[in-house]
Amino acid sequence: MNILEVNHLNIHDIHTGEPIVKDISFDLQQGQCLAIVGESGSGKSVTCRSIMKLNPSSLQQSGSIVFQGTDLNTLTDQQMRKRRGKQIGMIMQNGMSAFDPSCVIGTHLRETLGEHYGWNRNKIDERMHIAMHSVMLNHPDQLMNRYPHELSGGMLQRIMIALTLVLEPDILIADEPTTALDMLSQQEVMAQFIRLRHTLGCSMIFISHDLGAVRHVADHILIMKDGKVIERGETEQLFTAPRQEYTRDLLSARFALDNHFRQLMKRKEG
Amino acid sequence: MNVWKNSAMDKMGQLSLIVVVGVIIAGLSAPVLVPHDPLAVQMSLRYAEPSWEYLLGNDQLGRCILSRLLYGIRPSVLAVLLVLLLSVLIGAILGFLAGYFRGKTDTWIMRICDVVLSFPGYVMTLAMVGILGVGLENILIAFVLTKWAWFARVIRTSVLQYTEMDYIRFARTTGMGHGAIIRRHLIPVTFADIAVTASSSVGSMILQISGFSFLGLGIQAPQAEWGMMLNEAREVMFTRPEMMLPPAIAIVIVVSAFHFLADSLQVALDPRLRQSGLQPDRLPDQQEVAVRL
Amino acid sequence: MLQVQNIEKSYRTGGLWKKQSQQVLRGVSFTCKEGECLGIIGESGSGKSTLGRLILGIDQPDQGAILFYGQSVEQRKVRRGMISAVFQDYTSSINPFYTVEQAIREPLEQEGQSRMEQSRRIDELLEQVGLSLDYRSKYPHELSGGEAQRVCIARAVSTRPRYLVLDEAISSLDVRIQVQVLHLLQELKSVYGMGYIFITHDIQAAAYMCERMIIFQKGQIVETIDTARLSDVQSDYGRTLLSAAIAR
Repeated sequence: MNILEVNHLNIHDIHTGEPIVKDISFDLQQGQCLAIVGESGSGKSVTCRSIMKLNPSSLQQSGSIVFQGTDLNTLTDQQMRKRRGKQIGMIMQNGMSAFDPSCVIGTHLRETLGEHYGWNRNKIDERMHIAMHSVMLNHPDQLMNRYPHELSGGMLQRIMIALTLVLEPDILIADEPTTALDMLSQQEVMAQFIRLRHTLGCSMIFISHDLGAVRHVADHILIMKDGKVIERGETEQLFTAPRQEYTRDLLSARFALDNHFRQLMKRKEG
Repeated sequence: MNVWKNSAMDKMGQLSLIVVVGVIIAGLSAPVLVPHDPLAVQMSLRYAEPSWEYLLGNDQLGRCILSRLLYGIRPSVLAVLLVLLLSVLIGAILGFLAGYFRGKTDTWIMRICDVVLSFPGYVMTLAMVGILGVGLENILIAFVLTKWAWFARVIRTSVLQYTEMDYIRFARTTGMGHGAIIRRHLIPVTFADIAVTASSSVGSMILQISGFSFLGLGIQAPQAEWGMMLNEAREVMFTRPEMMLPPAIAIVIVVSAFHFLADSLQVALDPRLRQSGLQPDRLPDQQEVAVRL
Repeated sequence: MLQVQNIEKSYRTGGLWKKQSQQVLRGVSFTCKEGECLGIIGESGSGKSTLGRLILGIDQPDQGAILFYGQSVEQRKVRRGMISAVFQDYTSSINPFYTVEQAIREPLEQEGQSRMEQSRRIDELLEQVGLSLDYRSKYPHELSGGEAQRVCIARAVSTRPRYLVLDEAISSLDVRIQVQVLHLLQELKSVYGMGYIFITHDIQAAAYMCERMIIFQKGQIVETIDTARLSDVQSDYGRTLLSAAIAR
């Protein structure tokens, strides 16, 4: 069952007339994770922002984006706002700028949850604490009283994931959530995403520029280049038998580094 | 740089620039331009309608309104620009020092700014006029002494955000001196912010000088000044409302021109709009920008 | 020879009246020999960026010293032309008002060469980093990430420095470009014989480039190890980092 169907999406810049996304179509099945992989400028982030209709007005989109039977392109701003957060959730790349820097995390979270659910403060705190425990964040009550700049990127991303757990959106769009994090944090956050996938059965769109990073979380992968989809397929199939040369390039991107590293590590056994 | 600036600004900006430059030139060359002596009283021509000889008519003492308007540019606009220059200069120097060197320098300068800024502008100016006496020069001195603090704050904020940039860090790494860094890297980048802030405060300064003249604290009769002309027109507001039009419209036009200029400058000075001429034009309505520097 | 001796650095937090301080670096000492590529591996918050700034002389340690051939790195004349840097954020690494040519020319101007010689050198540098001479008149916002970082590298090696500090220089780039830039850095190292201080959280990249690695955590050196013997890492933290890298 397709929860999201994007058909013939075209996005171009009004000022320059340049097309940014050229006639792409894809489907997201319920409970599946679709990864969109591409380098900078490939149009992957613009595509997903257009699903949420969060692109600046200088970018015009055409085509249909059918979410649970409704074409999002036909909705007004008011109707779209009801769906954002609650039905379509988004986790951005930079955890620091996703939170309001002038107030503590707790205020931001309570505002969001209050807006969508209308719960009182105690219920919000209770639910958030449970969610934060499940993403391995200890002392959630202390964390809620901290400012965003006092927390590390990895923790902020996990708080975002916790918020998503409480909002229970039908689709989660994660826009390069681990790119700005260092290695250990990346591992932790990815582990949480994998848990999210399997335990909640959440439908996800995961955007990344690193093909290797999405191997364990994605069911299907879309490779984008210059605004077009140049290859798509199931994860394992893509990894073992890529058809396009560009995909092969992406797969072997860190080959030299991985190989060298593996040689070094082998010495221990040898 | 000037040619480029002109072509990068939108039509409104270019128009505003023409108006501003025109007004400044008119004010500077007032003695040459005026058709009549602005102080010449001719009671027979009291409240005369506009005629070919007196293009805007005559005021309550029969003086030529057009001539008074032109002479009024000097205190109303030129003096303001002088004050602006001085306060921006002082504010910029202190703002750069505070924002670039931070630490104790920053703390001290900012605390002094806080003290100056905590007095309401009008009250401070009135107090200084009270101490120094009535007259245009004293109002100008009062303005400079109070307004530098605000510019210092704004410029400091601008400098602060740029000092953290990696290209400044690189310049320091390679051993560039502080003066060179400020001159080559910080001034061009903050110039846009400073220009916009300065040009948007011209409007309020013109209004304030006019306001003080309106109260009788600025320029003294019989000298011409737009605020004072408004004051004189106020007395006959109900019998001869048309007397208020020339100075009021003049103030509105000049203040609006400065504001539009400020807006256009902000866009025109954005380095991201510059092109190396090697790529196709990005913005179709700014095709002049592709001119090679 | 770059020597870091017993560095202590803390930042004052709290307001004007409160005197709290946060210790960022504790007792850090190490040496980087001439022409050696030394890796400093740490996660964010470990203090590695602060260490980078201290080595470049743009910040001062509370205690201890950083010596470049025996002289303190804080003196500008000691650093000039001898130590250079490439930073992580290529969008803010070049003055937006400068063209590529002006950006690369900037450090050369302190050498006192004639303008012609400078131009020749700029052409040579662009070629070495793999950019065509067309790039001279481009503005930073017209460059892609990889291109901008190459310009920064060209600018950094223009004065033939003895040491180059690379502060997460490849972290913001796309994966394919990362490898290209690493290869470029290796090439330049053999051409110029520079020493590298490679600060990163990516242990695989560091292992690829560096002969020796320092593992850094919470402002302290946890372990120093030769890359060839990386599999023998002793510390727990080191082992955590390695297993995370293997799992990728």
